[in-house]
Amino acid sequence: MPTVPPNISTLSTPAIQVSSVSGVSYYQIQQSIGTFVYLINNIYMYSSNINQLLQPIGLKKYNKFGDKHIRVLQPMVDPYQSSSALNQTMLGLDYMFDSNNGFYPTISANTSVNFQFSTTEISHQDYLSGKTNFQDIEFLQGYINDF
Amino acid sequence: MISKMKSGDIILNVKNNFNFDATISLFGSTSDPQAGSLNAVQQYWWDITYPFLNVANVAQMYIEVKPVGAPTFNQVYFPTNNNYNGLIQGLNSIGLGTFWYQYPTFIPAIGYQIYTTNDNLVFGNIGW
Repeated sequence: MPTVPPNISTLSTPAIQVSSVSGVSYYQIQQSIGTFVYLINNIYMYSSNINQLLQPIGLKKYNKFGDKHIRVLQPMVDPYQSSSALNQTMLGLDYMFDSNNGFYPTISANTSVNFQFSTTEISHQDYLSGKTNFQDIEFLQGYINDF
Repeated sequence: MISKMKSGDIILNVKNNFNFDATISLFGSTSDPQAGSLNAVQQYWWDITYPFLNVANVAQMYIEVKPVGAPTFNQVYFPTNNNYNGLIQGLNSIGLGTFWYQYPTFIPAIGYQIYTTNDNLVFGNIGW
């Protein structure tokens, strides 16, 4: 069977480099997704390449029935404004980083872009009531049935 | 009861050092198969011009892959839909990272080239 061999090289810097600007690394953020869910309220994008701001962003999400929805955000900037930053509101899209959803930006060649996501963070334990199961057991153990 | 919601910012810098546009997958958790191509320095590329220009029907191809340190390659088959875009979509659907093309259309001086980066997997031949 015919085959095509790979050309393999070790790069000095990663071809696609993702780093966190805050003190928390991207890997740590990635690990926390699932335990924590981040509702995205707003995306602020900055790039010295104006064409980067026009690149589409794919948003994949699943609704509660498990149906997949893909929405493509097509940011627009005024070409005469020479703007290097763009504010994209996410209100109404009900989009969150929850480990199932996907965020697919297209990055222009040899270009760097900063994404600032304004988020609301929530974890599953936030849904628990005030009392834990252990507290309920302790209460019932001390309960005197006096009738 | 939701009483502990916190607000904050996540700030990322993303840099594409390829000389072509690249769509990537972010925030897919550590189990996201496409996340393996981010921040990786081991680059693989294949020139698949020949099968697409000289073989009449390549509806399915395979790629050899193994985890780093594993002794033998496995062949993972993927659909191509008999076109270049279909081949990229097929490769990106098998959960082995993200694959990119340099140009979506055929350019004689370059041909059809496929790129990926991965530090967790080792890739071998693409066959059909």
